Amino acid sequence: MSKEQDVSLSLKEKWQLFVHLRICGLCKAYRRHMCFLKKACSLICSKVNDCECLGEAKLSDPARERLQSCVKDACAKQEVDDK
Amino acid sequence: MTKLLSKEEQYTPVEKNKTTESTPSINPELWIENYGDALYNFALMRLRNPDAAEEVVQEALVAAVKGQKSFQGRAAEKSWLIAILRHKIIDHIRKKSRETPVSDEDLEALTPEALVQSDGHLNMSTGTWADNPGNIVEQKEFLQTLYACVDKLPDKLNQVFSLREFDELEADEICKIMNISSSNLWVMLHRARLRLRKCIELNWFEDNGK
Repeated sequence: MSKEQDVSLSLKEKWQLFVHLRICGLCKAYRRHMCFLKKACSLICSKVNDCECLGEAKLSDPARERLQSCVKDACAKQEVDDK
Repeated sequence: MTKLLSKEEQYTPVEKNKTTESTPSINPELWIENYGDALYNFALMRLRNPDAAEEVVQEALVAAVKGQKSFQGRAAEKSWLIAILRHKIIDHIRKKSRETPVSDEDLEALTPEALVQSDGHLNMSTGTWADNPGNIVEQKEFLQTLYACVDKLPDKLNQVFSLREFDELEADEICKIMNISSSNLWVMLHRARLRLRKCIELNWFEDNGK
């Protein structure tokens, strides 16, 4: 069931899974949960693409200053290279 | 018949670099203020090391400054920056995987024995999960909980899972980056999903009810 999230199962594997899910309630629920996880991860992916901060960690002030300085230096160098 | 230029057209200087569509303007000096935390947060979740996270963010921003001219505005500026960051993160993971490859001992240690019964069935209850969790998946608080659960995964599982689900890479690409076989990949993805399932059950469904 985990593998089907990533690749196409063979016909034999699909049939075996189908038969098993007809009789096993726990595995059926697990499969539903895996599909749910997949959907949730896809939403996280789109939020990350929008630069939305989902975690709590933030740049410290010294790190922020270091990065800002680095970007300024890179911009200055790029202007020189462009000329 | 060739159109003859009028006297005005003959002597009007042609504007250099005139484009029919305006090229998007980007201001690198605002990137840290606008996107710094989000970039750092994502890098830290992936790499688990504040110094490494800061380093890849720096590399991504420098690469973005150098590649400003290639930004054509087809995507939002922030999406473009995140895409560059993703590549830098993947490069970092690839390099680290060559230095410390996944061993068989690693795979054994990742076995969540508490999650699987002796007969191979999952050791899980379904009672705490909502019958239709589809409504919950779009809540920001839930996504933050799941994000935190991914952050708690062991390093190698986090890397493999994130490459698959957040970078949306195919299995063979992940195997090359991580320097693992496809059978190892399936095992690691499966174990990551088992742990995440358990983590969400404990941290969301049991706290929030059905």
